[in-house]
Amino acid sequence: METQRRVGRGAAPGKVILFGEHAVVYGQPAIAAALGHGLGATVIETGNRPLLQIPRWTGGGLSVSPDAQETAGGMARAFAIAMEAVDLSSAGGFSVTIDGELPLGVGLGSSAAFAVSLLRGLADFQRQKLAEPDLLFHAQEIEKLFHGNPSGLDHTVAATGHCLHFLAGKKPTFETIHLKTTIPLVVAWTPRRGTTADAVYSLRERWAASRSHYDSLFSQMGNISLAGRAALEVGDLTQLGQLFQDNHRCLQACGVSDPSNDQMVDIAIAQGALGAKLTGAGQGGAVIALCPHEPHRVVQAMAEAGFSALFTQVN
Amino acid sequence: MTDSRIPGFYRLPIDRRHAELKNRLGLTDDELRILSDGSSLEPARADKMVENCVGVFALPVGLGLNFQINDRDYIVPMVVEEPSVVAAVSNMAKLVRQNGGFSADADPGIMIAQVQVVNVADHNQAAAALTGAEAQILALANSKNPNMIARGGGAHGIEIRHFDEPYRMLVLHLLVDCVDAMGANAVNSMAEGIAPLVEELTGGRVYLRILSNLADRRCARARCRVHENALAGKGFSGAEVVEGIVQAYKFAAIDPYRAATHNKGVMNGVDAVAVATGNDWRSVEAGAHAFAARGGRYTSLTKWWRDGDYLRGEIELPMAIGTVGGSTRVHPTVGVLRKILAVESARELAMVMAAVGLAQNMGALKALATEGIQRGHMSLHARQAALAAGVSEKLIDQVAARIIASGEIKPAAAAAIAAELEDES
Repeated sequence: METQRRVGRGAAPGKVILFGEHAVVYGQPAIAAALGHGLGATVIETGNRPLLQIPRWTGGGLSVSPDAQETAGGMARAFAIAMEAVDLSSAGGFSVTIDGELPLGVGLGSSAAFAVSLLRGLADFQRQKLAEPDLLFHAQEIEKLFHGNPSGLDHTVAATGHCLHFLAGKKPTFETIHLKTTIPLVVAWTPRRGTTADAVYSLRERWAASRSHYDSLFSQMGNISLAGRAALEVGDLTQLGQLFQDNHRCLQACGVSDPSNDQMVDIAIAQGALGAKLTGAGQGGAVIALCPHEPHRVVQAMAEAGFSALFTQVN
Repeated sequence: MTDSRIPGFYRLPIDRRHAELKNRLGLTDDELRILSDGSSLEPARADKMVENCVGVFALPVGLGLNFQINDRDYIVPMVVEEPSVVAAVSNMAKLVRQNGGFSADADPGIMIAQVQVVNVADHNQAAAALTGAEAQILALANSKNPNMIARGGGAHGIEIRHFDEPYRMLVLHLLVDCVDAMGANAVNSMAEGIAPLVEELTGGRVYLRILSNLADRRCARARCRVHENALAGKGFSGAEVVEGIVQAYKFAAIDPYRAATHNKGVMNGVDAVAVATGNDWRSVEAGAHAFAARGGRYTSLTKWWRDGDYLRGEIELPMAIGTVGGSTRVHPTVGVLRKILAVESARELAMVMAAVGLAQNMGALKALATEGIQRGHMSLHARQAALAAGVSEKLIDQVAARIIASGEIKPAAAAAIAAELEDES
């Protein structure tokens, strides 16, 4: 900045589940990673009341003040929590702008990236360094506003930027996986039908009706997660691609992949991806494709078929 | 702490030098083997680095000794094929350490990404739109590389530049603190990432989106001083040597033809360290020369002047180098040389490289200056010999030149040559 204005900067990556979505609800391990992309936050001294602006979101852009909790709901409350976390009073004197191409509501961790980038930006503005446990604590508070009872995975990935081996439960556990090489991914997405909770609930109904069938699928997916972890640790992309394929077939068998997910997977494979699968809850939403060669062909083919897509490196 | 003085190192055979490295720096046998084995870069790895790879190419590694910078000693690995570079830099570093060592500093790791925008109807309006959206541009840029923010860097400012006809365009500079990375890839992807927003804000069309090698926000500086008595030698007084070096500097300061050669000497040292540490030396070169021409005329990267009884020197140049990521990780020899150099950050490495450039320049100027004085002395001496031999005024220059060429600068020789010349005429 040319002027002497005080400025704070923050950013946080989006998240992608590489293996084990849905199965994780039934006690199986899942593997999640931070995307190379995410959201960035810029905090600038203004002399006015605090203002949070997210020009890319919700049509014409979102603009909230922490006072407007009645009208602006969760977002204003989130802003207030983040300000409190770094001892900023509502007397203000600054504005926050958040931007990035992470899509909302397709399971790529946009709300967690929002929380972490906001917290980091405000802390930097205050010349504070939020220690990781504090960052995780406040990010979780904000995640609860948006997701009620979040698994903790999204904001842990956003705050650490790591690839994680995840076990859900009352006390979820996270283990950092050290990647041998960067993972070139195309992420493609389309609007989702229903919420994560809907997808989880309807699968639970199917499971209740036919436990042994679904338990066997879940344990297959758990094994795929473990094999996937091994492939990540030795940097075997061919094996990783094969495991994406295997995992996707299990998810199809669970009935969580819909025709748009399958179409995106087929497009990726046709354009030379080593493997592709849906990621997250399914029923639309996002697909990941492993693309070490000519990823932009995959991105373009997705766009031609009417899907959004971006290329990113997981590292 | 490392002691960068290893007396008699140059006289030791290579295996004894290895023993010194083992004792002083704790290099392992494996690491020493990597140093000995010039092809420690495996062909399979090399094949992933360049296209049509058919092999690997080895160069000598020498150690620049005696460096003391900001009161810390450094042993400086240098990869270079030219004789005398390592010896000269070590000798100058020794002189400087006896006079208090180098002081150095370096800017934060700020690289500039350029976004070229053409077909903008109203430059002022577009500039205002960009400035007004600075917070969003920075947020978007930082969203492209959250890791960099986590490491304490990131995009932190924009600048707008206008160019008029015949090549009318608007150029947005995105300033990115790359911390310990050279940052080329990160900066390029940020520039690509903000391009659509820049088009939207300006109504223009974006063409290039790429870093500038003129990294003038990421400069390193080094200074030194040496008492004139320490420069005396080879029959020259310290004062004569100081004067010679200062005159050589003035020449480079005013004349681009000389400055090119002068700066080439600076880069002999700077590049050798860039290669040894796995950095892109073409980028460092490009930055240095563009910076040397920043005032509109190409000039010296260093400055030398007399200050009381001391010769003082300083250097400033851009230093777009890194200690993490990129090629710094690929080459096994780089890992070993980094252990020898033992720098903690890119800024620290930049300071070392600036000090090496300054020392290398001092070595070259000292040699040129004393050689220059020597020639001057000789011709004066030869004229005196010719005069003593009674050579006529019109033949003096010719006779002086001939006895210098013959190597026998004596009145008798002058008389003999004068006689020959008079016979011929």
